Amino acid sequence: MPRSLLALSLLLLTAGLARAEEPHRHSEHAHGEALAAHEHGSAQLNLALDGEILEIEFASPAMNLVGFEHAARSDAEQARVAEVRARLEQPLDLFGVPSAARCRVQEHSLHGALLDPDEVAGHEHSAIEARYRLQCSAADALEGLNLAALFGTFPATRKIQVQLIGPHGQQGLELGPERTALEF
Amino acid sequence: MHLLRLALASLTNRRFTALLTVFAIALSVCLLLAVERVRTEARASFASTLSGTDLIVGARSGPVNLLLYSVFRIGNATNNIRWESFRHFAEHPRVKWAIPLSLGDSHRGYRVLGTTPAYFEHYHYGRQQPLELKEGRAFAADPFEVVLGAEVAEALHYRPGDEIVLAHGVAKISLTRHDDKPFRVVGILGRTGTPVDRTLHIDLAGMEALHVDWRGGVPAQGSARIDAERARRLDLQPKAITAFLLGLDSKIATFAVQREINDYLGEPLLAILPGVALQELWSLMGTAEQALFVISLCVVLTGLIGMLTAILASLNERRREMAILRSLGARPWHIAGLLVLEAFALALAGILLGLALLYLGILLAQGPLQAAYGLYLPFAAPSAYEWLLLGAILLAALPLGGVPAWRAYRQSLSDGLSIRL
Repeated sequence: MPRSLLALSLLLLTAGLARAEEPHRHSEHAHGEALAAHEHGSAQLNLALDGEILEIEFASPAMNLVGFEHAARSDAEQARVAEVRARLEQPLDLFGVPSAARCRVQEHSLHGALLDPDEVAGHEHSAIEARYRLQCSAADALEGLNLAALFGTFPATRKIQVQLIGPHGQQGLELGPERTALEF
Repeated sequence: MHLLRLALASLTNRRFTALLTVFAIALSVCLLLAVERVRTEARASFASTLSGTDLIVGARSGPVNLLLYSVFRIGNATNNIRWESFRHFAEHPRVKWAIPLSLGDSHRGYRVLGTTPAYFEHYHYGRQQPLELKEGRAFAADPFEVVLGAEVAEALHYRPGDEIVLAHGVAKISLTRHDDKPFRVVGILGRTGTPVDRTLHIDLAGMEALHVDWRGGVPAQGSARIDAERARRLDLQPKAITAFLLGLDSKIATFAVQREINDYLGEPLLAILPGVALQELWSLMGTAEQALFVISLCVVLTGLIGMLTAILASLNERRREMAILRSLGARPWHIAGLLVLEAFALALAGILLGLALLYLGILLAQGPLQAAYGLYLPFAAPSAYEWLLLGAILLAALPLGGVPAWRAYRQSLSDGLSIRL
């Protein structure tokens, strides 16, 4: 055993040396891709309100939304994925956008290994990212959002880290099932 | 009214104990208000230090850490970032302006910031206020020019035209001084109430020139030394900086650019939204603030209980007083009212003296606090919240005064005039 350990450490050492001897390439791939944090139960929400445009970015581990993170196999799992997709396609309801603001969805996109079967799965964790661009003709009436529907629809979501840019500047806050409202 | 006069007259008779009680309450009130003041002003001054900056970018560490070292000059950077990374994002189509920041040197305890003239143009604080030069001009072509923050110039009595020597590192007393390359003061900024006041600003080229002949972390010796004249002719492009500030052309772009920076493959970078990081800092500090607040509340309570003790202890000595009052026709509730009024008067006097102490303290500590911590305590009237606290203390004195009042009420019934002295 000690021998194999020694061999292993030698191997690691030489590998390290070999790396160190490599001339430093200042290329975009020198460091590899950054790994995003992945914590079940928590999600990120970015909101930016500028004039009539409200941008929403919502990123969550698939576990919070779907209940599993592997590719959908059974019919029940596929139905569940379809249901989640349908919910995510209704951002006005999901994020509690007040109807008085008269917002309509200008663009939206959903990403995630579970949602696009073509995407190469095989990661241990899988996340779902949703982006929306809303155009609100009465943006003045848009004083805040209420995520009660989101916490109700996806009860596995326990906290949402919010980064918000509004008319009063930047804010950071944390929402949970007991605190669902935010103000711009 | 008669009751109040009687209560005051009785207090005057016991003025030494009464004064001590008032003083104890005053000190506790002063402490409570001071904690509250420092808390709100620290928040306000932190929040007004940076405005109009969409993203702060530094080496990948924590958002609070990056915010503290880049903007508030608290703590140190974990790593530097490459000049190429700065150029890459400064030329990003969505970026309107970019300010590089390079830290690490100091002058007599004040930090030196290497930057570009863009700093004076785009750095905003408070409510979108730009930096203003009180005297002189911003640094220009010569790398050995320095622009001082208001505090630095005032504390060290520098005037434009003076020559100063910067030191390597940020310790108060530094062993390595850049004395071969003195800097000339060309401008002094107006007071901002932010860390800018305590900073010396030099051009990035100057920062580079200071260290151009350094080898292995020490200055070169003998012929390898490059003097200021020769350094001026060198290419003084920095290789690394500490952090940079970005202003974008639209707020909507912020998250996209943030993601792009955080996913940048050239080197590990971290982009933060200053407002969000500040909130994170508050949530960290919130616990400590609450603890301080609770402690000062307890001190106020101690002061009030001290008052209660003093009044209760005086009851025995004052049986004669009560008996005389009763004999003159005072009813038991008069006696009770007298004691409640006494407590009220003590608390009120304590609060007024406490306020006086607070303002005296602010007057005395304003200068040193600003110099040492950059914390500006304004000489302002109490806020609505402070009035509320004071009102609550005054109200709390009433039920506390009720305790001796109840006892005196009972005693005056049973003792009556049959008191044996």
